[in-house]
Amino acid sequence: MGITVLSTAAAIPLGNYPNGSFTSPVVDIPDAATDVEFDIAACTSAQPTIWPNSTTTLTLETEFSLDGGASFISGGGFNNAPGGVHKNKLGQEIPIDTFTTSIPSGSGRKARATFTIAGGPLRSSCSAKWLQIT
Amino acid sequence: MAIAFTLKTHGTSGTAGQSYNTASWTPSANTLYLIVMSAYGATPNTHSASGNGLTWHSYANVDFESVASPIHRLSILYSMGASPSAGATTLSIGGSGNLDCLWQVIEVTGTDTTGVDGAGALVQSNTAKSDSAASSSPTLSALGDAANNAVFQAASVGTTGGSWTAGTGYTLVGVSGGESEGTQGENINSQYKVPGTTTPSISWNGTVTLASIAIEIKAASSGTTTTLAPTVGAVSYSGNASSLSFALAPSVGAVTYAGNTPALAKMLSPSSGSVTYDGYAPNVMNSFVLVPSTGSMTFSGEAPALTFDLLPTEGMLIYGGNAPSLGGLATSHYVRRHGRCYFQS
Repeated sequence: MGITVLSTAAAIPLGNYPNGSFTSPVVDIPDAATDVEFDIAACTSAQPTIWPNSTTTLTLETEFSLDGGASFISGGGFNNAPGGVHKNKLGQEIPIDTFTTSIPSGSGRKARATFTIAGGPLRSSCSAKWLQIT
Repeated sequence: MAIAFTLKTHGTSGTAGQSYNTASWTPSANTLYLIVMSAYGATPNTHSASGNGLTWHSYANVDFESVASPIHRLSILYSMGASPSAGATTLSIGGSGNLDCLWQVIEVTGTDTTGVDGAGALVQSNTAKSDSAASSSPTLSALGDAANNAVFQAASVGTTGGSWTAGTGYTLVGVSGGESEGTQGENINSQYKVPGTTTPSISWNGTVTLASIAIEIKAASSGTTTTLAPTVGAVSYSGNASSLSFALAPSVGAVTYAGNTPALAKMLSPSSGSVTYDGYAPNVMNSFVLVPSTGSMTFSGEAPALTFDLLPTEGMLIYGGNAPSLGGLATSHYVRRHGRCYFQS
């Protein structure tokens, strides 16, 4: 019972990414994976050059394929998330924005993600990891 | 068919913003769907949903963390439709300054399907919240149907790293770890029981800021076509009986309709015992009714369309309200033997 990190799904290095949409390569989903988590670097006082502006927004759409990549269905995401320093309820600056979504069960599944930037460029990095939540 | 619950999809986002998308899921026609949604921000704001060809409504919510100055909202939204479609659901938070969102999308089968977009399945709700508690127990009023209706409870805590325990007889919808969002420190889960209880309680393994919503979900009617009563005993309808097309009463015992009975087309009353209609019975006995051989039959409300009736062999027949259309009773169909017949108004 709990959360097990199975493996890293993908990693996008720190960089300046221009406005527009970028779709990741298609990757295989481990059969044991139940969820996927995205971690996106966010602005803090310690890393002020990362996604500093609230007018720079990011939309994430994840997609899953249950037929070997022939077709994809939405895996969820978020829309127009703003940059800038965000604090948690303890007043601490948040260095990582996260998104976690459940994956339909099956084998031979595949995934991809589309990032859409507006008001950029957007300087950040992203990693994704497969989870097994039981 | 008993009520059943299935988790269709779930997720969390620790990203600031006002709009989030669930994974794609496939709804079925005329089936109740619930969305448990929790969000944290500068102030609690309206939760709404769109997508899947469904019209989503907010049913209940509770603001907490803290009780005095809440910044965290937990809500339950619902929908039902004749022609829903597969796809993602967009979850939206009103206002600005929202910092995260957690959700569960739950299918509920075997429910009442009346009302606008499934509203008839939702009977009642209550909420509970605390700044320091290990369990949450909103109390419901007596269930409308204690034998068949379900109770569903959604809960949220302002922390992570723990686990949920269902109340006695209840089943968690999600895993015991719930839906965990670590950026802000939140977790949600829900539980259900069929039939439900008026005192659902869900627990977190620690004392935390905690809130929950409990709702009663009405089961699909199982007696709309034919109802058979016990040989000996009482039959009681505490609610309305809008579509009982045929009912057999016990041989010995009482039959009581506390609510309205607008479409009782055919009924047999007990041989010995009483039959009482406390509400209106505008179309009762339109087709056929036999009163008890020995006993009483009482209409407290109006019975405007009684076209056929038989009096008890020994006993009383009392109409407390008006009975303006008793044409058949007074003529060839109306047989009085040793009993009495009263029209009180």
